Amino acid sequence: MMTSPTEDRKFLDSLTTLSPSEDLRARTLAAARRAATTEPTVRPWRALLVPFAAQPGWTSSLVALLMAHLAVGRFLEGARTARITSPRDEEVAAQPDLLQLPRIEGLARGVPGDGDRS
Amino acid sequence: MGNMAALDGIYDATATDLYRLAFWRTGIRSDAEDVVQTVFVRLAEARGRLAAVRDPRSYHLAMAHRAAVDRRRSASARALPLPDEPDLLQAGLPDPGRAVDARRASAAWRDLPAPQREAIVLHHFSGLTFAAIGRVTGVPTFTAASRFRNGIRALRRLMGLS
Repeated sequence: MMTSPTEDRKFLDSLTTLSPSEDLRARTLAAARRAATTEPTVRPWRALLVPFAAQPGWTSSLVALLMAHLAVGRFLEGARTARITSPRDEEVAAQPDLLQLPRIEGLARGVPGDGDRS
Repeated sequence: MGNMAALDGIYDATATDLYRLAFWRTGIRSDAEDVVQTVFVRLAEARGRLAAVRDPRSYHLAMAHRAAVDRRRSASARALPLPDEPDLLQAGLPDPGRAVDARRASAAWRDLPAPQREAIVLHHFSGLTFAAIGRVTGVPTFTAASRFRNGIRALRRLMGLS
């Protein structure tokens, strides 16, 4: 059977529930005092972030910081890739046939190359 | 020590609500006391950041809710059953009939799910709106209201009143 909110309220109004003891007050405030007198332990990453987060507009600053971090990461990765894939001058000098390789391969297959025009 | 005087004031203003929430959520008096202590220790530790709190009452209750949930979660991990706490509810008036009701309600209360118990104490005894209960417990307003109504209905059914 459904009951109305009024009946529910009347039912609960006839009851009361427990309250904390005076002893708990003394113990709780003593524990809080002890906690208040000890320096909070802050994790290193939080120590870095907290002053930053205290600034107004910190979320947009954080996004800008992350974007800058990603951009620098992409730049460094690009530079590293370029170094790996681009032969150094001395490497090219050590392999003089490197630039002529397509023409030589073309000749071997009977395909006209640049040299055939001359 | 100014902060400590403020903590005294916060305790006097909020301890009853925090204790009741923790007791109704955990079902164990000693756990409820530990929850209240945990909340105030955390408040003392976070004293520098409290100025930014917009709704202190909901903030404190949400801290108690989380501490109580953690408390019961660790108790569940240890497979501890709820002990008998027969005086959870008491008759508001010196009426023998209501005293019997209170005893029966206290006995039936143990069979209610913890979220329903929590919604009842926050709405009826602490006077929070369902929206505020939702903010404290991290659920939508509709869920908070359902928990309250289902809890009351179940309590009355367990007591044979409906």
